[in-house]
Amino acid sequence: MRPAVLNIILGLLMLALFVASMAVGPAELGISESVRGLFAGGGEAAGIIMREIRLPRALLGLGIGFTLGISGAVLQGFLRNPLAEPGIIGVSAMAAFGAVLIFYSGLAGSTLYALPAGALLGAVVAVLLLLALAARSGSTLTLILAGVALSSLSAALTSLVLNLSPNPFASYEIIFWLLGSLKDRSMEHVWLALPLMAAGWLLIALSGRAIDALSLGEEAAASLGIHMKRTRLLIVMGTALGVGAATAVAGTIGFVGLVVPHLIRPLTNRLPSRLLLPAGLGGAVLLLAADVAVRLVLPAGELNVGVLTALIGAPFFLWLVVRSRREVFYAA
Amino acid sequence: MRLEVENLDVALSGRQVLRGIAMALAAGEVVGLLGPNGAGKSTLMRALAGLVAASGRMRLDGEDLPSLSPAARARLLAYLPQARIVGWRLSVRDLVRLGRLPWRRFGVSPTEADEKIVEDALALMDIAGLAGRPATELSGGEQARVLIARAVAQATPALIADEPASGLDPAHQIMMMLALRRLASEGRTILVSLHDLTLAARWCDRVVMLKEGQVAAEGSPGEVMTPERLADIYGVTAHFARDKEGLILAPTGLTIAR
Amino acid sequence: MTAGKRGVRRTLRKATICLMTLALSSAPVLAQAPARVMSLNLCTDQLAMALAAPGQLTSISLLSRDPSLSAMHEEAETYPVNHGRAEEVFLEKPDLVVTGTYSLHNTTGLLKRLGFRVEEFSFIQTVETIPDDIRRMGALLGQDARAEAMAKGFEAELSQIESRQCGKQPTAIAFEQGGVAAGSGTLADSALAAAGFRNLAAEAGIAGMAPMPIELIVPQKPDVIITRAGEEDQPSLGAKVPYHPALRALEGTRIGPFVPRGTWSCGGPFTMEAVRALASLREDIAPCGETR
Repeated sequence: MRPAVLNIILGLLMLALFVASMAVGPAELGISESVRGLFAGGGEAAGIIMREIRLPRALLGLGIGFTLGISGAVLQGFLRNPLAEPGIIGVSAMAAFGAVLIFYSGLAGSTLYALPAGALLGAVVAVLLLLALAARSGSTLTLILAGVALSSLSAALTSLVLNLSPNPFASYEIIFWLLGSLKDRSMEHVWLALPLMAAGWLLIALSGRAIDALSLGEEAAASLGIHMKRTRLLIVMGTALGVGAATAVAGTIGFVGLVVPHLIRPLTNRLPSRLLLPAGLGGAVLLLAADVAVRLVLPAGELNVGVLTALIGAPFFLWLVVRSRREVFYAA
Repeated sequence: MRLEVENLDVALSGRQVLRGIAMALAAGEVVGLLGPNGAGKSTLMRALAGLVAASGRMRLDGEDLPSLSPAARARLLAYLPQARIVGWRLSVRDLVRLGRLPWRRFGVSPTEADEKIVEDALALMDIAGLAGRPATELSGGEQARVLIARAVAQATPALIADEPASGLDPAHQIMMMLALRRLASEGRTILVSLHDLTLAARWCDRVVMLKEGQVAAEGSPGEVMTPERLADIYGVTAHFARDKEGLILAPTGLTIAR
Repeated sequence: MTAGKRGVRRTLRKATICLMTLALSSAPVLAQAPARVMSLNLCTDQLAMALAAPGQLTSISLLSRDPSLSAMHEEAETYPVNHGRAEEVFLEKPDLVVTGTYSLHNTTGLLKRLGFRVEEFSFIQTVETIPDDIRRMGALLGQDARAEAMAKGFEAELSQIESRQCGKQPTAIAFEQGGVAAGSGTLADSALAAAGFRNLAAEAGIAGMAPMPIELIVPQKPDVIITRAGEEDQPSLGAKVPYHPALRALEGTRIGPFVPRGTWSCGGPFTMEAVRALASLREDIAPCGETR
C-alpha cells in the first residue's frame, strides 16, 4: 500500500474513533445536545460533560495511543527486535513507579506536576538500563528477560510504596498504576501530558534516518554517517518523554506498542522510519477503540483499559514468541 | 583518491591489536588485505571506517579522516562489515537505497540521479532481477552481493570491504572481484580483505600482509606471496604457476612446523 | 426519594434497633465488669475509649491512631495498639474482646474457639444506631450510667437538629476515595438526612459505598460535594476526583471537606460533630427563615 494512502485511512479511522469516544458515556446525551455542548460556552451540564470530561478523555486516548504506537515502532527499529515495546521491556512499569514514588511520598506536595516528573525519571532510568544491557548482548532473549525482571520489580515497588502510603486509600490505586485507565481525566492532565508527548514524537521522528540505517546493523549504520550516540540520546529521550508522560496520567497501558507495529508493518515497505507515523496513528486507533469498548462493556464499574489491552496483547505476544524464530534475522 | 595510513595503533580493551601500521593506496587500485585469523585485518578496516578509536594518521586525499563528521566521512568512504545483517524483510532495492542515505536530506524522496546509482549498483552485482524480493529470503551468496551493492551505491571515492567473497560460489567470487576491479577502473580506491589466497593472487593489484598486528609485507602479489612468507605467516605450502593474466596460487598443505 | 418515605424507613430502622436492644438486655447480666478489655476494630476502639474506666481498655487497633480515619486519634496515642492478630489476644489474655462483625472474621472465629469472650458490633451504622451502640458498649464495660447519659445527650441533640429542618432540602454528595460515593444505608447518608440534605447518590440508586460517575453528577448540579478531610499531606489520585474541573465548573456547587475528619468513618458520640457541621452548612446554603 502507498504510504500516503495508509496514513489517510488510519487517520480517518482515528477521527471516527475520536468522535465515538466523545459520544460514549454514562450521561446519555443526544447528538445535537453533544455538539451544541461541545462548541457552546457556558455552564450547561451537557457543555461541561463534553468539554471537561469527554474531550480530555478522547484527547488523551488519542495522544497516549499515538505515543505507545510510535514508541513501540522506534524501539523495535532501533533494537532490531520485533518483541521490543515500552510495556514489555519495563519502561512503562518503571515510569509508573517513578510517578508513584514522587507523588505518594508527598515530597512535592500534592501537585499533579509530581506525576510527570517522577514518571520521566523512571522512564529514563529504565531505557538507559535496557540500552546498556542491549549493548552488552544483542540477543532478543536478554532484552525480554531483563524487561520481565524490570517490570516485576517496578510493579512490586509500586505496590509497596502505595501500601506504605500514609493515606489508607492509596492502596486502592495499585490497579490504576499497574493496569492503566483514562477514567476521570481532565484537561489539566491533557496540558500536563500532551506537550511532553508531542516533544517525544518529534525526537523519535528525528531518529528516522538512523533506524533505517540500523536495519543493516550498528557498524554499517555508523559507516553510513549515523551518529550512534546522538541516535541513542534521541531515542532514550523520545520514548522516555512520551511513555513517561503517558504513564503519568493514565498508568501502565501495555501491549499497544507491540501489537500495532506488527499489524501495520506488512502494509508498509518495512523501512523502520516509514512505520513510525502509521504505527502512531494505529496506536491511537487501538487505544481509542479499547477505551470506547470498556465504557460499553461494563458501563457502571468500568473496566480499566489496561486490562483490555492486555487481554488482546498478551496472546498476541505469545504467538509472536512462538513464531519469532522466523522474524528474527541475525545472519552473522 | 589516495588513502594513506601512517603509524596507526589500535588497542582494544587494553590489548594492542595493531602496531605502527603504515600503508598507502592509490586511486584505481584494488588492494588485498591478507593475514591469518587474528592478524588484525578487520580491526584495521574498522579503524579506517571510524568505528574503533585509533591513534596515528589516516588521510584520504589529504583530508584527515578522524576529524571529519560521521556524515562527511560517509560521503568519502564506504565500509562493508564482515557480519551480514539484514534487518526486517526489506526489498533488495530498498536495502540498496540505504546506501544513498549520506547524500540525501532525510524525508526527501530519492532523485533520479539517486535511482540511477542504485540501479547501476544492482546491475554491477548482478542482482537487478532480485530487486523486488525480500532480502531476508535470499541465499547467503545473494545476500552478500546485495550488501556490497549497498556499499557501492554509497558512491564514495574509497570502498573498504571486509571478506566480501566469503561464502560465494566460484562464479560469484570471480564476479565479485571483477566488479571491484571495475569500480577501481572508475577511479575508486578499493581495500578488500580476503582469506582466499588464490583470489588475492589473481585479482588484486597489490596486497598488504598482516602478521600479529603489524605489516609483514607489501607489494604486488608475486612479491609478497612467496613460499617462505606463506610458510611463516600462514603455515602452509602452496603450488605456484603463472599464465598470461598473472599468478596462480593454490595452497596445498601444512608446513612441517605445524 | 421523598422525605415521607425516608421517615418511614427511619421508623422501621428504629423499631429494629429496639428489638436488638431488647434481645441484648435479656442476656444474663454480668456479675462483674471485665477488668481487661481489648478492642480490634477502629469503630469499637472509639466507643470503648469514650466509655471505659481508666486502665480497663488494655489495647486498641493501630488504625485508631490515623488522623484521617479516627476522630479520637489523639486519645488513641495514650493506649497500647494491636494489629488485630489472634496471637496478640492470646498473649494479652483479656476478659473481653470487642470487634466489628465483618472485620477479621477468621480471627474472631479462632478466638471464640480458644474460649475468649468476643463481642461483635455491626459494621452497618447510622446516626440512629449510635445511641444503642453506646448503650451496648456501656453495658459490656459495666459503664451503664455513663453510656446512658452519653446516648441520651446524643439522641437529644439529634432530634433538636432534625427539628430545625424545613422544606428546603439542599442536595449533596459525599465522596469517599476515588469517586466512590456514600449511598443509602450508610452513616454518611443518615447524617446528611438528619442535617436536612438530600443525598443524590442514594437517590441515584447507589446502596452502600459504590462509584458514581462524574458525568452523572454534573447534570444534577449538587449544592454540596463533601470530600474526605485531612488528605492534604497524604496525596492520592482518588482525593482529586471530587475536585475534577467538570465539578468545579458547576456554579453554585460548594466542594470541600465540610465534615471534621474522622467523625463519620465510624459511628460514635463524635459523629454528632459531623451532623452539627452539616446542619450549619445547610442553614448557610438554604436558611429556613427566608423565602426564596
